[in-house]
Amino acid sequence: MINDIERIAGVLRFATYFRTWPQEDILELAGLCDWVRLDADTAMISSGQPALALYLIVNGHVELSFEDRSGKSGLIDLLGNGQLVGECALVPEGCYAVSVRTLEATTAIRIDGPGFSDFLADHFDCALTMMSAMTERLCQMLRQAEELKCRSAAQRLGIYLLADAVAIDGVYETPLTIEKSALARKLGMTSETISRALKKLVDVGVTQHSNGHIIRIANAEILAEWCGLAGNDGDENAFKTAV
Amino acid sequence: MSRRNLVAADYDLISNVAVMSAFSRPEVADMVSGTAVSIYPASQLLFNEGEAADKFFIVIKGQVRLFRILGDGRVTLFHLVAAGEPLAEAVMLAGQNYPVSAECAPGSEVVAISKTQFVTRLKADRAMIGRMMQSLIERERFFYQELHDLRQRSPMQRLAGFLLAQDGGDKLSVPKHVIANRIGVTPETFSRALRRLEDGGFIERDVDMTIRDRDGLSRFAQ
Repeated sequence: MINDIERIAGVLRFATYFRTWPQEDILELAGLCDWVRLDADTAMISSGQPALALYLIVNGHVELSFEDRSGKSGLIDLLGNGQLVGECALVPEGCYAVSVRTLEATTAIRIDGPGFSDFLADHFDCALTMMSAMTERLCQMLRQAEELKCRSAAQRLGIYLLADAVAIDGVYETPLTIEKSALARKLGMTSETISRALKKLVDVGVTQHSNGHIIRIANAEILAEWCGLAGNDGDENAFKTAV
Repeated sequence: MSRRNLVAADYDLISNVAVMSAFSRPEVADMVSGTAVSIYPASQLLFNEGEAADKFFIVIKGQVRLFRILGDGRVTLFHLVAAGEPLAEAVMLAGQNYPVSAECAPGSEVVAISKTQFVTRLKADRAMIGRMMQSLIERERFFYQELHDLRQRSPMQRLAGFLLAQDGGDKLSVPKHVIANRIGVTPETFSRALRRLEDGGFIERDVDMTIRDRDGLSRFAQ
């Protein structure tokens, strides 16, 4: 019979952060983990509280929000399956920089922070992959900031749709797996702005189907170019895709 | 391609890259010892997709494009890396192959830091790993604040916040296009925001910009 540690190890080995780790290291890490099951609209971590654990989201979506010095709180991102939150727990006496709240019933793996930190101190290659994941996360945040600074709401929505698009019979389709209101918050806009942006995107071949749950992109290259993702090397076929 | 030795400005730029920011200047110098700045007069490949990521790069000047060539021959451009930005540091740390190819634009200057040099330095002082993580987490906090501001505050509030954050007293001599770029608004939006702050009596526009009502501006920024 499979025990809990083996079940957790089975999930960890497919997570982006740990998939290159040796099996014995994953099993050792699994020994520092517990399952956590949270109802919808429940706090997973709270900003300013001592950071004691990291959480790997296994199933569900969470909302990540930041509170500035004046106490004003705002959504930064929505995260889903396979993403890790709470890296602050890797440094001694760290406090969480953000709050994370579930949007729906969510299953996560809780990784003990101090234990994980000690584990990384003894496993140099694993520490390097964790730093790699953190660096990649910083790059994603930088790209988000660039998009917010440089692109219109419709362009940002277009890029989001391109990033998740799947080729089907010569066109691209993007399934919307979260509510439009949640998508709006993720992209830093209101629901009304999302509706207006979708109307604008019709002109570049973006249409809604199945009651808005499927978005069809007639020509991904035209949309990419419209979103300002074309390359600067004069190659007409070059287009930049969201990473 | 030609080479030149690193100068003080290069070290400043390298120290400012997230993955290097945990290191002191002597440690940075030690890590890049024997390294030169490569100058590329024409476009040149830095690495090909699929090659072992045995070094990462910091763009000193110019631009590097990250791309993939698809099966049908089309080129997919992923990212344009600007001066002051690193590339391939995450894949190098993860011990993976380069997932994309990189080509620098004519006139670019690039520093390559080898994985061996980097890892040897970290292995020699394990406490550095903790410092690097601390530094990456601090960077993350900076970006949380940045994203929060961009999402939650109006251009006028961001401008007010920027003006207040300058520590040169009430006279501000930062070029306007630099401020517009920093707070992420078009020149038109920037001019409108500036005019409104002036109309509100918070600032005065002369050769420099002068803050007239610091408390009012502070309340407005929130």
